[in-house]
Amino acid sequence: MILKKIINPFIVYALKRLGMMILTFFVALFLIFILPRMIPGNPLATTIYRLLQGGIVSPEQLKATERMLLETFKFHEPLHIQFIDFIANLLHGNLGVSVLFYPLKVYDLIAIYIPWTLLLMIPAVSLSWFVGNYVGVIAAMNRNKSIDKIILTIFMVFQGIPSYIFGMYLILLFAVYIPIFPTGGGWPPGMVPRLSTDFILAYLRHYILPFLSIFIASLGGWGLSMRSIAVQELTSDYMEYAKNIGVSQRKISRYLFKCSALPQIVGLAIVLGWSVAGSVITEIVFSYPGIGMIFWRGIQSQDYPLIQGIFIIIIGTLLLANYISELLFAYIDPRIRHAYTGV
Amino acid sequence: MHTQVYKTMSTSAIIRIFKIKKFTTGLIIFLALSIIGILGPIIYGVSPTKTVGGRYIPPGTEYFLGTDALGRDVLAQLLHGIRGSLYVGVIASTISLSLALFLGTIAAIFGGVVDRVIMTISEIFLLIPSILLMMLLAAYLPERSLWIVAVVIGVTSWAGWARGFRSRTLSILSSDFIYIAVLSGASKMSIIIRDIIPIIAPYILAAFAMLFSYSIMSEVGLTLIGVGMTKDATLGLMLYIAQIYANISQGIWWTFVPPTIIVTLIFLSLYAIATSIDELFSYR
Repeated sequence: MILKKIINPFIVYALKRLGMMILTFFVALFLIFILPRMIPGNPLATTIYRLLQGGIVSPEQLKATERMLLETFKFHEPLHIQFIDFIANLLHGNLGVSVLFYPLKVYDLIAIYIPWTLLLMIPAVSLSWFVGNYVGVIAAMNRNKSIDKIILTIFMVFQGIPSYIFGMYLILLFAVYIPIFPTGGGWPPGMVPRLSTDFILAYLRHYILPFLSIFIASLGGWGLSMRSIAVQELTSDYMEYAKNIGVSQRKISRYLFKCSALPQIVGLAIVLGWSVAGSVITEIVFSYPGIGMIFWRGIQSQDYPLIQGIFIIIIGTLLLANYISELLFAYIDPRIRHAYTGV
Repeated sequence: MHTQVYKTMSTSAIIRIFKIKKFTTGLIIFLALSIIGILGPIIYGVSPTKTVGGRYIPPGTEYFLGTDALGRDVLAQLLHGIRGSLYVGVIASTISLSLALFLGTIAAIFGGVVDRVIMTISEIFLLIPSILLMMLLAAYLPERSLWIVAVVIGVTSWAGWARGFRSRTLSILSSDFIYIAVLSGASKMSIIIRDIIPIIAPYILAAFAMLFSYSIMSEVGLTLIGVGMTKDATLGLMLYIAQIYANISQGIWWTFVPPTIIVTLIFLSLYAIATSIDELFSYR
């Protein structure tokens, strides 16, 4: 008890949550480790067989792949040694070599593709955060009027429709019926990514539809939660006071935005952490060359090291974002950390 | 201790909920889709897996919704797909709801170590979503049935609801009548079954509706990215096949527009049902 009073409750809270995060990460790693070893049949044999069936690989490459897979998974060793080895490799940042993109390393593959994913997700999610929250405040200021009801209905529908459905309809409308945008890809075939006006313009043309599908799909969620926070905030004493002393509507809406945005900032941290996992489906629909696209190709060709590597990256970013958002929340709202330490 | 009147599922409440337009509309749409899913494949006896004609025949008098890339009847696929997706919804949401209800109420009523262990496990499950588990399974199981997907969705989606059930149970536990029940020697299990569950019944129903739509949407998402179902007919598999054969960029709308409309209708109807229940019975 005495110790608890000396140490800053925020630090106690931060350490406890860190412990939880590490525990979760280990459970995830254990799952990654144990699942391929539990499933009947030899995944190595399956992979080799599929490579043989494909008939594209040379005998040398087949041998090399087999050796590499044996080295990565070490199935001949006892389980506990396999596990220690697995963790040690991870700590060294060694995620193995991809089967599909042999001889590229999984780590390098992820490093090549992840910027494209972030370039798509971060602007789309951030912009929809701003627009959604802004419109949410407008709806709250006019609550129970017809404009609020219209916004509410639109947001509810937007929230219910997943981003891939928006994606499919956007392609159908703006790439097939009115062909102003390409149907997919990141840039025209034959073009090489480089910092030239030509490339950037071509990239933007490919970028707009996937961007819009993510933007629209996440708009509803932000708007709805912002509206409900702001409606509650409007009944608070300081808002009553502001209205009574005759503060203008514009100023009130600005205050309202600022006060209600705090919990939404935490939400933004979580959603950005999800962006790698969340973009998989959009990238597939648009064949956009990001992490989701290579993941899909990895699944199609049962590329274990690649799938395992992407899994670790996704769970890692998720946990980290979650941790950051928890700290942010505890920093903003002291009740949380005090409830935790029991002070 | 405090006295509070809880709104339970009385007859008058049930009558009142049918007066909410949002609720009845949602219920009618959902029931209609369920009937289509159950009876549709029986009435329209065309096999969804058999090639019946040329590929990509547009909707018309011969094939009401046209044919797909493999010359299969899209209407037959849609009807079987609705049925498959409803199966996924029932299986996954039943597993998830039972886990959430059991673990949530047990954690609240036993407290102490039991509570801590359950809460820690639920926290881990909140962070390991079904997509990650399915990704791993998909890497090692090339053939995946509807059951595997439904069970994985069910096992990974209970955590948030368990926490909800726990906090609702905790708030009821401080009431007078629970005190009286404890004093009169009622066991913990009988308190859960006789006192807690009737009070949180509306919340359980709302949770069921939300979990049901979550499960159906998850199956579609998982299958579409290639880690979900590979065998049985579901709405997800229809979209996956449309995606694989690049139907969207070719403008072959009849293979993917119908399933997306059904998926959206399922979500919206269940969402309307859940939010109306929540609004009517909310404790505040």
